[in-house]
Order: sequence, then structure tokens, then C-alpha cells
Amino acid sequence: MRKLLYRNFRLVHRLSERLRRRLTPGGSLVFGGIIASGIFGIDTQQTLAFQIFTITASLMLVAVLCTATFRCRLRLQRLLPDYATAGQPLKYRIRVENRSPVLQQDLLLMDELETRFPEYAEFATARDPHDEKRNWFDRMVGYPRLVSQLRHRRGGSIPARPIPPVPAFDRSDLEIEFTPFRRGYLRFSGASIARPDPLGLFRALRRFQADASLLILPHTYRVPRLQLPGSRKYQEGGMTLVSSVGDSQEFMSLRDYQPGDPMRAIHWPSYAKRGKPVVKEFQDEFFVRQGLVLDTFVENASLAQFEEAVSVAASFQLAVQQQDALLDLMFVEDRSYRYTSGRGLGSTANMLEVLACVQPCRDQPFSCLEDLLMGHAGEISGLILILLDWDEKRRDLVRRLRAVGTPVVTFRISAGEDAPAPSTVDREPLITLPAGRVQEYLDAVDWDNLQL
Amino acid sequence: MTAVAVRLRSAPPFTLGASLLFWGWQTGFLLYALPMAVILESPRWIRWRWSISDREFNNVADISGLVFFLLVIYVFSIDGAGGIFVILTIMPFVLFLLVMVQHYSQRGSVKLSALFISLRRLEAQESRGLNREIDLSLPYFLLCILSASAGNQRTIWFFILSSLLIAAVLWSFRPGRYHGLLWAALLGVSIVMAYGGQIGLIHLHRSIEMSMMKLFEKYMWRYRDPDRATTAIGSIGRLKLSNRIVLRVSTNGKLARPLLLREAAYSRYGYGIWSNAPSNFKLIDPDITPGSWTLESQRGRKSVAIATYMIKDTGVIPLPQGTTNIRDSNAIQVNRNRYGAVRMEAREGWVKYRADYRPGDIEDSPPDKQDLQIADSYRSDFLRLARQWKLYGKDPRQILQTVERNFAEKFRYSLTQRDRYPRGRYLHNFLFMNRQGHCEFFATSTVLLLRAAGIPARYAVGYVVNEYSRLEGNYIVRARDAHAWTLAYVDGGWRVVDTTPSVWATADNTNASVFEPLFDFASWLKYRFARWQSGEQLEESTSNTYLLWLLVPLVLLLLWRLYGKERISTLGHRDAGVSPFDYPGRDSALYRLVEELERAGYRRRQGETLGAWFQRLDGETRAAGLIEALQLHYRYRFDPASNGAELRKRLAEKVNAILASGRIEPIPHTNALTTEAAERGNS
Repeated sequence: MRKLLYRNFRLVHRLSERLRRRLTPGGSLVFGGIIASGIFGIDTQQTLAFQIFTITASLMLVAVLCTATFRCRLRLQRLLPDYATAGQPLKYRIRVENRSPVLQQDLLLMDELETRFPEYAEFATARDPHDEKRNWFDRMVGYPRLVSQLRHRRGGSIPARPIPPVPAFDRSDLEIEFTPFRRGYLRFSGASIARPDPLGLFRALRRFQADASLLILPHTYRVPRLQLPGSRKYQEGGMTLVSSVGDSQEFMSLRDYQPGDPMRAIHWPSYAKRGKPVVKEFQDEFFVRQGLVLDTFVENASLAQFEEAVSVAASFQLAVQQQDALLDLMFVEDRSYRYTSGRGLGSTANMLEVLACVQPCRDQPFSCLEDLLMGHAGEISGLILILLDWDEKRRDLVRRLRAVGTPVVTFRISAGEDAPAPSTVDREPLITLPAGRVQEYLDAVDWDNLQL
Repeated sequence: MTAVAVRLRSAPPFTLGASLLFWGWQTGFLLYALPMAVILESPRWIRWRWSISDREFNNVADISGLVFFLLVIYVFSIDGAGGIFVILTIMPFVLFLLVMVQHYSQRGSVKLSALFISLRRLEAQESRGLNREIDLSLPYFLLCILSASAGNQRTIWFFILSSLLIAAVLWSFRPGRYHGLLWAALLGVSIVMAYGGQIGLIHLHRSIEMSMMKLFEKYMWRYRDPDRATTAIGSIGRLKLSNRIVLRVSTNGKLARPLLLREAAYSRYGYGIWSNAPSNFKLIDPDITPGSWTLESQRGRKSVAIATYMIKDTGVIPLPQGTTNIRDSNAIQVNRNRYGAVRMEAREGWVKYRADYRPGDIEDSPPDKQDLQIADSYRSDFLRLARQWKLYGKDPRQILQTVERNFAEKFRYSLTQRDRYPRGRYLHNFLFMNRQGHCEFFATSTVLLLRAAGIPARYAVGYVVNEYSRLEGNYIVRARDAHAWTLAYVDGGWRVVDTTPSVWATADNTNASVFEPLFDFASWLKYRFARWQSGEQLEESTSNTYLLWLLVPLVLLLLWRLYGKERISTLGHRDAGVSPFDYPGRDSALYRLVEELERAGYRRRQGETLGAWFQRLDGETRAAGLIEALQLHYRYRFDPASNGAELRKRLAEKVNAILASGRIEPIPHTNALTTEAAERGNS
């Protein structure tokens, strides 16, 4: 039964999308007239609604026939920015080039984002945060859920925009603005140019294939620069490509040359003095290295909580001082990941790209995160943990980290209103941020007196 | 601040007012439409606007919704399904308040969430993307034109004015890239197409209606045929019997044993079909007491009240065996054939009657040679069985006892027939091979066996009453309670012989669905509602109070809504009133002719169109010119282009000529009835 409904929903959705694209506002009115008068006019003896039906249906028929052919010599070029941010208005331009000898006016541009329908299994198992607000019928039938899923997959809704008149053999730029409502890649599939029929009811469409993608970075919150305590830690094996290297240029001693030592390490005066190569030995590398840990294990948490966690992680990624420290972004997806930024390594933009694409982990145990953190605890000066829950295993993780001497600040993204007072700090610093009110709670935190 | 997207533009100047006037003119509400139009068009000159919050918009929308809801209940309870057109007629009143508030508000549009409660909750949670608004003026314009169509003023003006109004609105949507002349030309083409199309639709509707009526008559209106009964003997598989409630039987007390209600009896059998020679039903004269008919001279000792659903205005009714008279009925006439089947003519739908009866005294016509006949293909089997069971040489009472005992001991009841045999071998198989079957096997075999033993017998069909419904407080009979039994002529009278094992009712009950109580409750509500709607007084003095209970939640809802909307309720809402619902051609002279024909006894069948009826009458009566009169009537009634006054005159002349010719001769029995009725009136 649900499968049948699902198939019908696909059909209904496609039909409604097609109607939405094809019908002008006047056309929608006439179409409504056809439906209503068709219902009331079914008995030609009872009312004269059948006459309204014939009038509206004839108008629509003539309009449809007028849009049978639509040849236009136009060229489109989409000019996209490099990045955009979820929840922030995105502006881009589309250049319309008229290659015909006539003025083109009254055209409408409909830019499209790829719409990939969820498979039945995804439709049946998906949870929708809006479901609680819907009535039982909508929840049971599930069409609004499907629409919501499609909306989320599409990532944004681009309004149709009228194209300003384009003179013959000229071009015109059209600015389009919309707000992406999720992070990750937005995939533009193509754009259509619509021309209304002479009655102004139905649109002829001409589609231009123009695939492109745009990365939408996560939404970020306003957070202060957080100074984590903790000392510099020895980085085993040193750090390559770091712009200014910890203490590695500090001279320690001289020793005999061993095959493989770089030429620049040879101490030429001693070589000359001894007649055999002697190389300089430098002090080992010590850095301030902080960790930003994102909990991706959506077990009891909702996707909304997860999105908030990503946003909070992105906010700290931006906020942590990176001139003289390294920041490791760590999370588990299909496997464990650790990305390092700071001191010339991996830019903040790179890190935000990573966060833009991070997905919940569904097939790895929580112990993966534990292993990842404990494995690197020795070289980490301090940790910012962003957790989706505060259950026993997460408490245990924090306890173990503190036991090995790693200072930890823990943020827990809670589901809703049940969060304790914003600045409540346990003996282990734990800040609870309810999803939907994160900024409000972040602002209320007394950062200066946060006991770490 | 989020940008607000308004869906649909507002109606072009004066189109909304014009559509309201058009609606008022077409439906007879012009006096109301005039001020309404002025109110909606005035904001063009009036500068002040109300500052109306979202919550207040929601309240106004809720009030409009509530008014609509109550109106639907009220109108449907008065007019039934036809009430939809009354609602359509007065819809501009219902939505006027909302549209007026929108026009005089500073915002000038209505949030979508005001119209859909589910959106309000979503909006409360998520501000982005849902902040959409709609201008209601164009939907209201469309509604006014649709409502005007419910006025059903069949003149050309409706088409012309509605086309003009729609064109005026479409002009505002005209794209600038085309010349106005092209727009006008295409509009003209559309209007011409529409005019042709609406004439085509009328003809299409008429022809579909005619063919549907024919199909219905052919396939759907099945009822008990007193001259022929097709049994399920020879059907393969398990009999599927419906749990639908077909009868409701009230008795004076609990029945000591199941009561048989007979519909018909048959005397001739062959290959699974019982039949009679086409029998003439004899009209039973009604008693002096209205609604009573005496079938037998003796008085009945017992009485039952039966309610059944008649799908046609004539049908065979189930009655207890030995019914002496029928009373408390609103039947028009009652007939009976020689095999005891009683046919009643009444208004279709639920009919109720009370039958007095004498158990055991069955006054059917005496047996004739037909009641002793066995078809050749079965004779040898039944003679053989009669010999086996040693029926020869016994007196009739002993024969009956033997037959009943043998069927009870040696046969089993079953609804399933697994094997296929040659035609006519099913009874052989039942008697000598598997010895199991359903009631039709038992009754048929008993009839033929008794005939083989020399006792006249008939096959009777009807229902068994044995299920008492505590919900309804009477007995109910389902379609699966249909039963067949034997009437044997013994000692100068007909006796019921039912050889079907008594387990049959239990076996049939296995068909019952787990949802049966729910369906029963729905069926009961439907039945009560149908009776209440027909204005019938329910016999239990307290039983109709439950209908009042249904109103309680509605009243509470109304009070609650009004309590929360103190301010809005003071805005006031004009009482709509109901249109007299006139239609053109109502004064057609043809209706006089129809009355005369009905008075003369030429009844129009249920669902028969005037055209079909007159075609039939053309052959049955000697009156000439019926078809021509009907054609004139159709032109006068439906052709908007015709000259109404002249047609009306010609039609009146034609009808007068037909009536004056005196060729509509009354049908004899109807005449008797009317005489009887006249006498009753005098007395």
C-alpha cells in the first residue's frame, strides 16, 4: 500500500511540477476554473457550469496549441561564485545572449537544481523533523514528507525570474538570488527559458543543459576565540610543509654523517676540520596542537541536531587561533578522518569544505572515535568535543581523555527545550546547546570563567 | 526581514464587482450582490485601511470555515446530495467576509497559513520560505462566476457575460510581446469553440444518460424473479455469501425457533433452474384501513414488522408462511400470484410493513399436475432413491418423517463444490456419491423425491430469521441468510419441509468478517438516517434522541469557536437565505400532459427519461403527437436561442390538442384504485 502511494506521489509530484512550470498565474486561474467547473458541470441539467468549463477549456486548448513550437536563438551562461553559505542569500548571474535579429522580451528564466527522487527504502525509513508539526493524516500518508525530502535533496528553491528585454545580437545579465538551506553540493542541472502564449496562460519551454555544482559551506555561529589550556607537545617525526616549524631550527648538537642526511644539514666548518662529513642535529619539534572533534554518531539524535553540530564545529574552526598552532579536525564517517590546519597547513576554507560534506556515520561503532582520539591524545594540547548525546560511552571518553591529561571542552547539542541553563558548567566543562537556539545559548556562555 | 511573495495578482478594476452583480442577477440575490460589489470596489477610492494582524486574519478565516462547515451540514440534511448546488449558489456569501477583510487591510493579501491550519504550525516553527501570501480577489471572482452558473438561467446571456468577464480578467495577463489583435483573435476562436463545445456537451450528457439508464435496467436492477430462480447447483468452488443486512424484522417477543420468510415458490426444475409458467399476479384490493391488504380471510395469530430495501418501485417482498394480511404499509398496491409470491409496489428505498400470519396455514393454490412432475433426466435417480428409502406404500406423514430422518442422518451440509460433472449429474452426485451440499441441493432433492413418492411438492425460497441484534433491538437478516426449503402438500394443506441440516446457519457464519460489527453499525446508522430523512416517526419514543447527541460536539465546537472570536463575531455576517431555485421552462405545458398521463395510470419507471417514456407511451396509447410535444418542450426548456414565448404557445396548443382528443385511456386497474381512493375520501 505504501509502495503504491509512493509511486503515486512520484507521479503527482512530477505532474504538479510540470504544471507549475507550464502554467502562468493566469493559466493557473483558468486551470482551476476547468477543474471546478468540470466537477460542478458534470450534470448539464443542474447548472450552467459546463459552459464555464467549455470556455476555460477552449482557452487553455488554444493556449497549448500556440506553444507547440518555440525556437529561440539564445545562449545562456551561468556565473557562479566559489562558495556560498547555508542559510545566507546566494547571488549569482546568468548571462543571456540573443543571437537572433529580433528583440526578445517577456521571457522567463527558470534555473533548475537537480531533483533526484528518493528510492522507496529511503522514503519509507526517512525521519522528517517537521513530522511532529503535521497532522496525523499527513504523517500517515507521507506526501509532505516526500516533498520535504525532495526539498532537502535539492538544497534550494530558485525562483523563476523575468529576463529583461534583450536587443538583437546583444546580451543581458540577470541576477538571481535564493537561499540555500543545506550545506553540501548544490547541483545545477539546466535552465529553461519560458515564453508565454499570446493569451498569457501557458508557457512554451526551451531547455538548456548547463550542469554545474556549487559547494555550500555550513552555517556558522558567532563564538569567541577560545584559548584552550595545555602545553606544547612533541610531534613525532616532525611536520613537513609547516611554514614556521615549532622548535625544529634550534640547534642541538653535531654528529657524524649518515647516509640519507640532507646536504643542507652538513656543518661545513666541522667537515673541513675533521675531513669527514659532520651534520647538524636540531631539536625535536614541539607545537601547540588543538583538536576539534565532531561526533557523527547519530543514534538517538535527529538530523537537525547533527546539522547544528556541524555548524558549531565550523564556527570553532573559524574561531581557533591558527597563526602559531595547529588544529586537527577529527571525525568518523566511513572511516576515521583527521585533517590538520594552521601554520600554513590546510586553509580554513579547506576545512569548511570538509565540514560541508561530512555525513552522519551509520556503519561504524563509537569506539572508532575513541581509538582515533586516544591514539593522538599524546600529541594534542587540548580538545573541543562536539557531541550529539551525553550518554555513558561519551562520558567515559571524556574521562579517559582527561585522565591522560588532555584538557577537554565539551559541547552537547541537545534536541530541544530540555537543555539546562546556558552557562551551566559541570566539573567537566559541558555546555549544552539546544538545536534551534544555539546562538542564544552560545552568547550566554561565560567564556572567561569557563573552567578548563 | 523576509521578502513576502504574493501569489496571484489582484483582480483588474471592477471585474470583481461585475462578477458579483452577475452572480446576483443569475441567482436572484441581486439586492445583496449590489452592496457587496460596492463594498469590494470601494477601496479604490477609500484611503483608510485596517491594521489586521495575522491572528485576526486566522480568526476571520476560521469563522468563514466554520460557517461553511455548518452550512454543509444544514443544507445536506435538508436537500441531501442535491444540496451541493445550493451551497455553490451561496458560496460568495460565505467567503465575502474574508475577501472584504483582505481588501480593507493594510496588507491587501492573506497569508496562506490563514487558510490552512496545518501551515500555521509549520510557520510557527520555520519562518523561511513559508511566508507566502495570496490575493483572494481572483479566486473569489472565479467563485462568483461558478456560483452564478448554479442559478441555471438558461439564456444566452450567461454564456456571453461569463465570456466577457473572463476575457476582461485575461486581458490583464496578456503578454506584451504580442499584438492586441492577435490576442483578440485567439480569444474569439476560443469563445466560438466553447460555444460549440457546450452544445456538444449537452447532447453528450443526454446520450450518456440514456445509455446508462438502459444499462442499469439491463444489469443492475436485479431482484427476486417470481417466475424463475437460478440456483448455485453446478457452481464450482465455495459459495461466497454477503454479510450485508437485507431485512430488519421486529417480533413481539423472542422467536422460539427460526422464522422462515418466503419470497417465492416454484414448481418446475431443470438444470439448476427453478421456474414457473409465467404467472399472472392478481391485484389484492386494499382494506378500508389505509395501508392494509387482506390476503386470507382468517385472522393471523402472530405478527411481525419487516423493513426491506427496494431497489425498484416494484418487487417481491418476503413474508412469513401463512400470511393473512399486510398492514401499516405505505405501498401503492399489492399483488399475489398463485404460488404465494407477493409483489408490492411502493416508493423505492426502505419500506416497512407488518404481516399477520398463522404458522402452519399456508394458503397457496392447490397442487396441480405440475407439482408432481420430475424432469426425465432426474426421474430414474429419484425413483431409485424412493425405492431405497422404502417410501412406497407408506402414508404421506410417514414418508415425510422418513425423508427428513434420512437427510438428517446420511447427508452433510457444505458450501463447497469441488468436482465438475456433466450438466444434470450434480443432483445424482449429491444423492449417491458425496452426499453433501447446500440448502438448494437439499430443497431441490426433497421436492423431487417427494414427487417421486407421489406427494405434490414445491420449492420455496426466502430467508431465515434467527439473528437478534442487540444494537438494533430487533432481528436482522443478512444476504447470507437466504434459504431454500420444500413445501409438501399433505392432508389437504401445504406444509414446510426443511431437510437442510440445522448446522447450515453456523456454517454460513464462518463467512462473517471480523469487521462485521462495524459494518452492522454503519448499516444501522444509514438505515436510521434514511428513515429519519423520509420523515418517518420512529416507534421507540427515546430512540431518536441519539441523533441529538450527534449534535452535541458540533454545538460545543461552535460555542468554543465563538467564545474565542468575540471581536470578530461583532463584525456580523449577513444571513444568506436560500434561493427559490427557479429554472426556465418550469411553466411548460408538457407538465400538464405528464400529470394527465400519470393520472390515467401510465407510470413512468424509475430512472426512465421523459424521452424514453414518451417513446414507450407512443406505442401503448393511441394518443398522437406525444413525441412532437416532447420535442417542443425540450426546445422551450433547453434551447437558449429559441423564441420562448412562441414555443410556449405552440406547446400549449399541442398539449391541449392531445388532451382534447381523448385518446389517453385510463388503465383499468388503476382506475379501480382511484375510484377506491375517491370513495375513501368521501367516507
